[in-house]
Amino acid sequence: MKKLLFVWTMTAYFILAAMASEAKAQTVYMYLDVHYNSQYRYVDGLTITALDYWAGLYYDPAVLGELYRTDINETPLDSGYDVGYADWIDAEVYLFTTNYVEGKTYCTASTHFVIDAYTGQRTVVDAFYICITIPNLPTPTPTNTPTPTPTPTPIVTSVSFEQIYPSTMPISPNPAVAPHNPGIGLRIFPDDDVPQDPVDFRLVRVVATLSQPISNVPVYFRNFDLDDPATDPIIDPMGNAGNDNNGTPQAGQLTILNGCGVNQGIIFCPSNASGVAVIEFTVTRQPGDNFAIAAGLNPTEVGAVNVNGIDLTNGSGQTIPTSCTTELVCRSPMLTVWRRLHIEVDSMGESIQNFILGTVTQTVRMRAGQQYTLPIASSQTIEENRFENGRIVINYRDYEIVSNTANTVTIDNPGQSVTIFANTTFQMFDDDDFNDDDGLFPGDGTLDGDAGEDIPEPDISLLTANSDDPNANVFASAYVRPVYDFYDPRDNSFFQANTIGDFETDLRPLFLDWDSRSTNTADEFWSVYLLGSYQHTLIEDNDPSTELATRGIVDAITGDTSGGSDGEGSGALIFKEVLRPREIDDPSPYNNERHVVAHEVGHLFSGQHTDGGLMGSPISSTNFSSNTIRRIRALAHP
Amino acid sequence: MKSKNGFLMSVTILLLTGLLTFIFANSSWQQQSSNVSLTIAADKNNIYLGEVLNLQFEFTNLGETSVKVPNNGVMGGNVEILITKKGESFRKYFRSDWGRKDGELNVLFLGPKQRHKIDDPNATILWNGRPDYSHLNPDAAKRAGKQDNRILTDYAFPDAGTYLVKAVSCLIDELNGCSIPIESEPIEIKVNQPIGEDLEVWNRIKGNRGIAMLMQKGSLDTGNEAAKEELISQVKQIIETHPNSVYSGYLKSNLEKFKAKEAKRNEFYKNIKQPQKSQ
Repeated sequence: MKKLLFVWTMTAYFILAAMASEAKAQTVYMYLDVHYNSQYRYVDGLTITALDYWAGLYYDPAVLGELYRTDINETPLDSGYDVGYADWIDAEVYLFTTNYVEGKTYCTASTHFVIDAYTGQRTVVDAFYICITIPNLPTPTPTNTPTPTPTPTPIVTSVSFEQIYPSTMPISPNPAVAPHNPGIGLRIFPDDDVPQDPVDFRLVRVVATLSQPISNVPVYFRNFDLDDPATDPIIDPMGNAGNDNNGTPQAGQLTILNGCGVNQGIIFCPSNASGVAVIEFTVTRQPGDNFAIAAGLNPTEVGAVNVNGIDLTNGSGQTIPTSCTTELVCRSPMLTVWRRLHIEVDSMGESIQNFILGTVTQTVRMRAGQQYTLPIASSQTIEENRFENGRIVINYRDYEIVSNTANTVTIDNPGQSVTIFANTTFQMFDDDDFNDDDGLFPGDGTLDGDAGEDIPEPDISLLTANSDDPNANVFASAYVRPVYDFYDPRDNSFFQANTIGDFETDLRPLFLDWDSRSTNTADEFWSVYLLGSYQHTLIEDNDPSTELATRGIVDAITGDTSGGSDGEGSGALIFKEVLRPREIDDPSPYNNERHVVAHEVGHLFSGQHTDGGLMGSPISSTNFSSNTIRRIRALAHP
Repeated sequence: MKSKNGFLMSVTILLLTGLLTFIFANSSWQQQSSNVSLTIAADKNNIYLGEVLNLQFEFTNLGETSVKVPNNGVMGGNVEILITKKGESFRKYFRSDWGRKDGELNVLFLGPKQRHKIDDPNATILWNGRPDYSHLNPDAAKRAGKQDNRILTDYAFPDAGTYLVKAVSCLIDELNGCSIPIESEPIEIKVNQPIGEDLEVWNRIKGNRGIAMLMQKGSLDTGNEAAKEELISQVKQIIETHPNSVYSGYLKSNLEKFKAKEAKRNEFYKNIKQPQKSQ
């Protein structure tokens, strides 16, 4: 025997042509209704205020809706207030309750407003109510007919995420990155695709699918901040507990869309004819933050859900699956935030003027196979012993430089005897040879200050584009992926053999082709700048070799927000000449350019030497320490 | 039965060996760090609010064997400064230009009974780079604040009172680099509320990062030319109207230093834009 389904509706439409206008009548449409559904045992109602075109020129619609049971009418069972926009978007409030009692009368009450679009003043247009009574159940009569098989009650069978706006990095499986990310669930890149992107990629659509294609069934949603799967106490000091995300709001945010409402403090949205209910969810932007959404038809069951590690459990403590067959509450996969790091890479141009010109100030006669010290003068400052193991060219002859002072140079004369007359010009090169392509003997005529050789870009092999492999992308362990997508990112415009100083104001002017400047402090679009440079200051360029060399430096370590972009880390200079193998004495596997490049970018993410690991001084690992990972994940922007 | 006993004995021996290794390793670590002392000294122990404090560090090897200590000062990032107002807990002082020099570690071999003073011109204390936690949720902000343990005010000494200042550095271990922590005893710094003319100047410069940077490191720390001009004009006015103020002393000498550096910088960058031809 077919089961009877009682769905009763009381509906009322009101049209008020009340407001005067200069030429045309302005019309306010008001609607309210109340229904009950005996199969799923709920009562719902709807109130709407809408405007016609002429009213919409001056006003926005608004409506306050309340659902009462007449015998307990002191507080509404549900209520809501909504504001629309002109004649484009109606003001709608959907009302809902599972407080379903036979024989009781339920009323929808509505107050309809218009809001002056210019002054914001709200005016009541009218108020109405409409009621419906649920009939008493018929007294059952004994019968011999078999009990009918009940229609199965629908449940939520799956909860999934969809991208609302098409992104170049759509939602995809979350890759495993040992040791802190086991690679469960999905990942989202909620950052901007392009600088100043008008689209908010934090927004995702949550789709709950019912086991039956029934419309208008309220589906309850709750969002959760799951535990960070890292077991390291520095990265996740809260152990197995959830609510450890960094971003705000901590568990993300569900949005109450038109037609959705709140019951028992839980947001619900009605299903459509396909048995699908949809709600919007906003994630945070901190990398490694993770979320899950639980959905079900019973607000009490959904309200009883708890976080247990990266699982959700129901009121009985059972783990809730992501694919449900009988469970009263279903859940989404874990959704984890990843970020992109847009790296702009430039390098200096061809080496020029990397030498000293001057004159020999006294005539010197040099015999073959002996060392001589020549008095010299130059308009350029000559650093003591900078030119040791370098080359001097006098009268088209090459000599190896043994040592030098500010006004002398000591050279070897392995060849024939020669006289150098006073005022003879010379050209001196130090041992600079960034790509080690000159000869091994300074006097062989090949040392030329790398004249005409283009300075290459820094070695980014530990920051490989679009890589989730921690051996190729050291930032993967902090849920960050490098990309190289700046327009005209490879500029070669100038050369300077040395920088002028350590200050930010000394270094930033070298960022001559800094295309990513506008996103330097953008939270939505992370960018850093890398400049393949030659050498740091004259006193830190390993010339002479007893001098310490600075191999890389950032304009500032990110972490001082007191000066806006002043004092905030933006870019790094990588000094190619002192990073060549011949210049590095220490054979440590971390003493090379790729580690220095990754280390400098770590500074731009607030990493400090005391963090150790890749940020240590000296660098002692290819990996960031837990402390640096924690800093990266909690930073607003590099 | 026999094999079970043998197994238990092996386990016991292994545990004992592990325990002894642990004790030995720990005692040798303590031995090494307790044989070196780090001291910190300031150019003044009594300053006004907003005055610059210059620090010096000294390592002393008290032991009979040589030790290795870092010698690259605050720019090398192996010395940290912790400050507290008396009675509160120590917090880290942060400058975004400290700890940026990346290269070969400058290692100093300290022979038995030897001492080494690090007189680092960059080791000045005034403005503190405070962190921003406003984008984090309240729980995360609290967590980050606790883990970072940084000073949260713009000045290292934000109010008048007595402060303790200490340095934390490390000894260099053959395998792990700068990894054995060493801490100085704290020194006491009395910070006084300025009065009279000094108070007048302090009220004008309080909270001004550019002026603090000029006093502290002789740099205005901004690439914004208009902001630079505005700051220079403010500084000149203060020097003119309050020549005897304690702050004017710093401002005057550092403005000269800044001008000299700026001229050098301008010359340098002029060369970048118009490179000369090679001979």
